[in-house]
Amino acid sequence: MSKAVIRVAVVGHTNTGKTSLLRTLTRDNSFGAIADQASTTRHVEGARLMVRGRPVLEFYDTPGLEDSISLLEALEQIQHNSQQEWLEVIQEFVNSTQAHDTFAQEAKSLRQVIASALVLYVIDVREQVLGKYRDELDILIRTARPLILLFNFIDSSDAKTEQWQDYLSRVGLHATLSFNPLIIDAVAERKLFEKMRALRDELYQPLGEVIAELTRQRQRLRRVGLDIIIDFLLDSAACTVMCSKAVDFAAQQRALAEALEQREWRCAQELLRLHGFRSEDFKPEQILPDQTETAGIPLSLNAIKHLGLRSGGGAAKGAAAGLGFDVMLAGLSLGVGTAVGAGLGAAYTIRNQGVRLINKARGISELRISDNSLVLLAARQLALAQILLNRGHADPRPVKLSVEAIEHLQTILTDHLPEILATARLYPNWSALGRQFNGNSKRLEASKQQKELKAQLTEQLNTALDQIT
Amino acid sequence: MSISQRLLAEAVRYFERLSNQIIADETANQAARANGGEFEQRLINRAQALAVAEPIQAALQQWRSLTMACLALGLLLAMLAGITTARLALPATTEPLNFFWVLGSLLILPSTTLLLWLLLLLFQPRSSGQHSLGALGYSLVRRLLQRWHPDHTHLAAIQARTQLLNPAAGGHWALSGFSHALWLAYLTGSLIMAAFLLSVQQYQFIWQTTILSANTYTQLTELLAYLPALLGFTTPIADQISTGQGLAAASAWSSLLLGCIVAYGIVPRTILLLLCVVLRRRRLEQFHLDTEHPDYARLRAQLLPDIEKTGVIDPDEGIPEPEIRPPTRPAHQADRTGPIALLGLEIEQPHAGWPPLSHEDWLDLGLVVDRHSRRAALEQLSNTDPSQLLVVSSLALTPDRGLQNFLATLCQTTDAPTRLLLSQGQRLRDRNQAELIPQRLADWQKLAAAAGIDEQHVIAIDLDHLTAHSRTQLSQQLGLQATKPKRSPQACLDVAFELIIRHSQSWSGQPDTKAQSQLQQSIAQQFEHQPSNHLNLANLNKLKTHTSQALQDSAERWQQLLPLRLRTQPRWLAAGALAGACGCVAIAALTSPAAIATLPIWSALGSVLAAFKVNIDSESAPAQEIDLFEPVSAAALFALVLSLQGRDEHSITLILDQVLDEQTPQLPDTEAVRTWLATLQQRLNSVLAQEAA
Repeated sequence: MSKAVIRVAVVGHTNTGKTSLLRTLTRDNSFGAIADQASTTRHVEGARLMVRGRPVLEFYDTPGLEDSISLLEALEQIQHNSQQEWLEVIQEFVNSTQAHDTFAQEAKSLRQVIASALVLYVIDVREQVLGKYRDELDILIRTARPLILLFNFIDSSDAKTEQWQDYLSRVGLHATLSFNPLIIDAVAERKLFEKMRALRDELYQPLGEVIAELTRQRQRLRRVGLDIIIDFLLDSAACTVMCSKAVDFAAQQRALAEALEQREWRCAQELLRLHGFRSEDFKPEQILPDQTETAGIPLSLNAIKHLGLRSGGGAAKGAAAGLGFDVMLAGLSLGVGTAVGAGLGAAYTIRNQGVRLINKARGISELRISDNSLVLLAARQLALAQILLNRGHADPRPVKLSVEAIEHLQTILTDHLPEILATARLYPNWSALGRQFNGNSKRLEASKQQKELKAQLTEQLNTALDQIT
Repeated sequence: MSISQRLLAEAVRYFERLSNQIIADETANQAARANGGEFEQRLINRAQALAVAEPIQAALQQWRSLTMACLALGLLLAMLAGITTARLALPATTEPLNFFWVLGSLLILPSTTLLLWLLLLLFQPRSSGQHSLGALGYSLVRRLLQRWHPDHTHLAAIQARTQLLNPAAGGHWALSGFSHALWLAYLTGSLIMAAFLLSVQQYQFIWQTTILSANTYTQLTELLAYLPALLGFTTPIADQISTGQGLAAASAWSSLLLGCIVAYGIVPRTILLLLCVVLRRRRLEQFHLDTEHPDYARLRAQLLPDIEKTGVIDPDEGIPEPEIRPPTRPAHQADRTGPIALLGLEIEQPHAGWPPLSHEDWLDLGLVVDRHSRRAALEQLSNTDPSQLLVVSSLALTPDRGLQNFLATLCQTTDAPTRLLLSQGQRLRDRNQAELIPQRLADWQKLAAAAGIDEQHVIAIDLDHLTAHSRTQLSQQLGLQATKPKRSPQACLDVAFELIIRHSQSWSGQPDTKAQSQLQQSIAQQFEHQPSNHLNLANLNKLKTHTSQALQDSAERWQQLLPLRLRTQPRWLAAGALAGACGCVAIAALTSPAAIATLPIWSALGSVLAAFKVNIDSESAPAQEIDLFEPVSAAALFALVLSLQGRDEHSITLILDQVLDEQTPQLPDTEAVRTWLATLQQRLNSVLAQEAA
């Protein structure tokens, strides 16, 4: 399967958003440099699209065309003198001294265009269809490469999309597509690849793989994002600090609130990294948009309850094991094994809750995050996940959570989330955060309950995410 | 990829889960990427390259040894149990033993458990291993290891191994196989002990019955003997069964006993054990890492990136920085005579019109947008000798080298000093890019300098929203006498207010739409010599085709001009709508009277106003006595806005905010109208005086 990698050149006038487009297509906000200025990109830089570790497509970001009117004049001059075909004229030009001098940028672009199987031409539709753009298209048409025209800034109030469409169709360019690099639009992206597939036969199969992979990638991102949030929620919900009211209660409370805040920040960081953003893209103060004062996360102080919930199950298991012994010894142990097994099983369960039982007797309380705060944390992280799923990597603004979205999510989540997470509260040792406070616990493994809980949470959060998108 | 490699990867995953963070080891990631392969292969390679791999491997090895030890112990115990059972079943006695009783003690248990297992396999194949002796042994190993090594590496190893007990990995076959092995040991122990006892002791085997016939027993024995006979064991013949006495018979009976243990105990268990081993092996071979598991998916970007950078392939060689040409000549405007050359560079016609200022002597080079218009402009410029050249371009455009080259050519073509005017700043603000303006201006200045234009000759004035102030500024820049209007806007307003008073005298009751329009038309005439108001111009084209829509738009637009606090007042809303709709007609009639005459304006106007009034009247109680507020305020508003025209809409609203009152007075007669208008004028004057200060 060693097929040649297909090269795609991204060209356009200066400052139309070529690098932005590539940042979003490659999900990498460190690709190239962007600024609202001419000649920000002055070199050719590429990114390879891989499917299962195999390169399929190479996108090349090129310097913007700036002086196409003079360039076309220069090309026409060469053509007039040599009477060659246009492609040869352009080739000759690219190798000429002029191409390293006045038209260095343009020559770099043209060199890539000639070396590519396909060309994406980016248009800033806020501009009129000026002569310079017409000349650029004129030159590109003469390179005889299949062209796809991408409309950027289509949502701007002064977008002249119709004008552009009208002109392009008059010069026979019909493969147009709107593309906003500030967002990840799965549909637009799919359309782009579909158009590329349609233009070149050899792209048909590999791009089909790319499209499938993109869908998978999106689902994966969503799933992993939810998983990150669920980890965080379990960590927070299960986190319990034992404290007696008399002794340094306030200090414990502060410490726990801080720890929870840090944990939330870590969750946000993981989400950012997952989606290919840097931690600078999200300011810590924005994580708590509704808490102007340093009130921290509200906590609740609960009396200990829920004891012995699992002892039934433990006894049954013990008894079953004991029965095995009885059977083995030909019934000679007369059921003693079964009885002993049941006892051991029950005792095993009690041991896990025993500490809590003793603490209860001692009048020590459990300090934990309140249900409302849990819902708020979940809402914030979900809102962040939702934004990141759709945020283009060319967006220079920092990520901002909307208070409305968080409030909406809170109302959605508040019905079931506390109920589901109540189970987690029974197992303080599920929380790595809690282990910080309470010392290490021996039983750490993912139990069946934890798995079930995670499944429930996934379902709940998925529904919530669907409702806000 | 072997199972132990996969196990390691799983153990590493559990380890990371336990320590609550993914190990960030770039060398390991790199090693995984370098070796290539599918994602699973890369995960394994990474796991192997991690520092934690070694202790985890050791832990896995410990598990293995412990399992082996436990298995050996289990087998030993099982064998002992088998021996004990055989010893109990064949006591040292000279009494004849009941053959079927002995056989039963030896085989009933293993056979029953076998039968149970088979039933379980039939009905619940996936849980056939649970609650078996194998599961018991496994949990023993786990507990032991956990007690001895309560650290994360061992825990991770245990969890990874535990995963192999899932039915998906053939775990039930493994646990069942373990059970079969134990029972096999038990049976082997029984067999050996039985064989030993039968070798060293003399037993008499009999059978007894109370309700069954002897014949049944014979048949039963023969049936029982069928399999052992096949395996080569001697079995009692019919005669021996019925009488059951004698040495030969005892030998045959004992041979049958051993044969039964082999045929009904050992052989099936052995077969099942082998089967379980084979099935487990096959399942293990099919065991793959769940690469879609979130824990692994988090590693995907590092190990199997969807994107790989190629790096820079055609580097920037450094474009020679454009040399800064000194301005070709000092700007001795005073010495120069001739027209002002005006050129629009890649812009649309500004709202202020083209040329944007009224001045007698423009040399219009046109709006240059492409190669041909460039050539034409250059040719025209080279043939004339203007006093100065004004190039108008846009702040919304990105200054590029093409523009720079053209500007440079322009500067070289003429001796006249060149100025660059950048319009459309508002457009950037509309795009929420206001913060970009200083940078953009600096870029333009740099470009202008490179083209040979003096930095002070680059000015940013928005020709789409030309204010009195910016108009003066522009005139000064161009060295023009600020074009004094024949009458100042103030004087025009005076006349307009006089007109309102005069018209209101002739009204008896509410004037109709036509009368109101005529008033506004005559007000508009007062401002005729001033540049037409962009607020209404926009609607004129539409007016010809979509009359009522255009009027409605205009009405809404004027309502938008009102400050927010007045927009909540129904009477002011009515005034705004009236001013807008009538004003639109008035201005249209002014600019192209002939065209307007053919349009069904009046009926349309009536219906539009009616539509607005329905909305408004429902909120305010209809006034019973004569109140001229509505037509007067509409006309006053119209006159006010016309006197303020040229400013941008926002500042008009600001001024209106200070001039107009929320309280809407009753205006029953001309005197009240006069007083009210005087108040308005006073306030306006003070606001404008403040502004000037």
